[in-house]
Amino acid sequence: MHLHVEGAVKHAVDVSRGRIIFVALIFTLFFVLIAVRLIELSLDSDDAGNKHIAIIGSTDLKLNRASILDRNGILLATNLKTKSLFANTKDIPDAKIAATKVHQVLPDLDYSKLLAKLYSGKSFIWLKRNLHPSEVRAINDLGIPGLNFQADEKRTYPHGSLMSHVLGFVGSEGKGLAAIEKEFECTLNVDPRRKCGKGEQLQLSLDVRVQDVMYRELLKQFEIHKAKAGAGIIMDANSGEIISLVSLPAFNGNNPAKINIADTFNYATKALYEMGSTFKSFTMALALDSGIVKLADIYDAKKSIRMGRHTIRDYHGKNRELSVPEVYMYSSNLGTARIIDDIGIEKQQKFLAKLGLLSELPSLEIAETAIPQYPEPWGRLSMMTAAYGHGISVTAMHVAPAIAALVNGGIYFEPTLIKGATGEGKRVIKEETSEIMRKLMRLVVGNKKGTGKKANAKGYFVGGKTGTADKIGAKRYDGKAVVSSFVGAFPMNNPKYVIMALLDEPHSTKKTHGFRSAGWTVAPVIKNVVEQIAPILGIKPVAPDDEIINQRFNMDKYLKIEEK
Amino acid sequence: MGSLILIVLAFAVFQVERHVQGLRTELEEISRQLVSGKEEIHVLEAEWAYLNQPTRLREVAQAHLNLGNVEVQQIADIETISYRPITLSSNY
Repeated sequence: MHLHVEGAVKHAVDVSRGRIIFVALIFTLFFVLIAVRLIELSLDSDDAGNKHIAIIGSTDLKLNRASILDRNGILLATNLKTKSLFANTKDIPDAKIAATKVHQVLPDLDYSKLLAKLYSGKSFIWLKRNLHPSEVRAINDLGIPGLNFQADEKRTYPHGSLMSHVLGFVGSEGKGLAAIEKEFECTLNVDPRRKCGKGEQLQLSLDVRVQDVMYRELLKQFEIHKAKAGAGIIMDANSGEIISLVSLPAFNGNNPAKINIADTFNYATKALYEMGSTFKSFTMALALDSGIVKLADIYDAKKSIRMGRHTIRDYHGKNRELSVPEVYMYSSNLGTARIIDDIGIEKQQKFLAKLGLLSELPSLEIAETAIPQYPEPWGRLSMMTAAYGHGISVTAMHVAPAIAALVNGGIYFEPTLIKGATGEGKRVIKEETSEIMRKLMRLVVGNKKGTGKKANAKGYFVGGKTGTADKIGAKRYDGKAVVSSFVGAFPMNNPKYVIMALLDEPHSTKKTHGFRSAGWTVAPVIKNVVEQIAPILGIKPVAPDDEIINQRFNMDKYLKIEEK
Repeated sequence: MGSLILIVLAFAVFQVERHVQGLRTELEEISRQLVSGKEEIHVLEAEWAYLNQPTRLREVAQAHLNLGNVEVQQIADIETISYRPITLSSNY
């Protein structure tokens, strides 16, 4: 039977049919779109897919702080992931039992403090940070509810106390508290909660192998002579990059809680000393560079100099006239004072300022520095004493780059602890003057009468200057304590590195025949260090009897042959 | 017949979606493993630095090797070593 609809019913059916067709078309449209998309996806190019992958899972190792490397890429400081133990005391059934058990596993925790923490009622309280994996397991094995671990990170220094004064250390939240860690907080930090953080690795100019040699050799003499403190610096003479920086006593940044604050004092960059005779190098360079004084000039080292209440004299002096090289080689105060008298205060001040010896070092990348002290007013007597290193006090870190400028051809490079952060350098003396200074410094070490002969490392043509300066006691120089230092460079025929060692209040020993001067106490450090680092740094030894070099460094015509 | 095609398409979409889900999960798992591997490598790098401390190397070398410090007279240029003199022999 044929369904026959007409009129209003037909209209209703028609409308319904229309609606159904409409909806069907919509659905068809969507399915067509899906089909198209499906085909599109299956023909997908790589690009669109990778974009999705990047969003899904990053494979970067995320640490809160970037690492610090030495100049050769060796790891000096890095964050390691650890677990830190905290307690939700509300979940702990019996605080006393828990405290006892935890104390058994972690005996370094104070029991009464532990108990107090567990009784505190807090839902989060640290018990111990940065546990060893074995400790983590032991705590887990206890099965005490309320004890939980949180992912944490510990700043680790694989080389222990070797680079302590350069790197510094961090606090419990991983924030830098001293030296490089503090100064480069913004570079190293990754934690977004802090005010800045680039999370970039830092590469220092220091060489950990060289540091090890300097540290060990300085420590040897430091202990033998029971010194109060010690400092060692090795610097690239042609760039200002610091290869080694040692301060004794040292500390271990791996255990910040146990650090003795006194040990964190950086005796190489922050301790001010009247350096004594090493300053004669600067007087000599100034005098010769000015043209006012010549090598062949003769100076009286016999008659003492009276200036009001003060008398300048030579100790173990030659008691005769000395040529300019002899003044330097025998370290005569009288000769040096008379030389600077020919130069004048103004020239001296200008020269010392040019060498960075009168102001804070602007380039050094740690905050542990000091501002030099110099005479005020700076009269004629002050000029004379400053000429041989008294009345003016600087840090070892001031002296090293200044000496570098004297031996490297005459350019002063600002010292830096960061690899490649070398400045342009500025000229302070003429090339010819630098060559003369090299010859004079070689004399001090190479000549058998030189005060620095114990620093002589055969084949490496070490040159330099010793300095044994009386320290001021309560009110005056009482001769009770000295600071002994040696600053020099090698190989003197083409200086590559400046090396400086200093001992603060060394005591004499039987072996040093009762002497505590630089020639006995620190000069051996130089010899031992040079012999060990030269192969590491690729410095070839020269035959000690090399005719060309020996001819070049021959100063015999200025030296009076002494009768025995 | 059109509806049959639609059903097939719907099923296909569902399959693709499931497959992608599976791949996504796999990718996340691999990413996790990669990070975990990198963490392990990092710990090993730190341990390597620790074990290669100059101090430790010296102690180990002194204990197990018969080596001392290089002396100056032991260092020379390769040029100073002369070639072996050429000798004529019966075997060409």
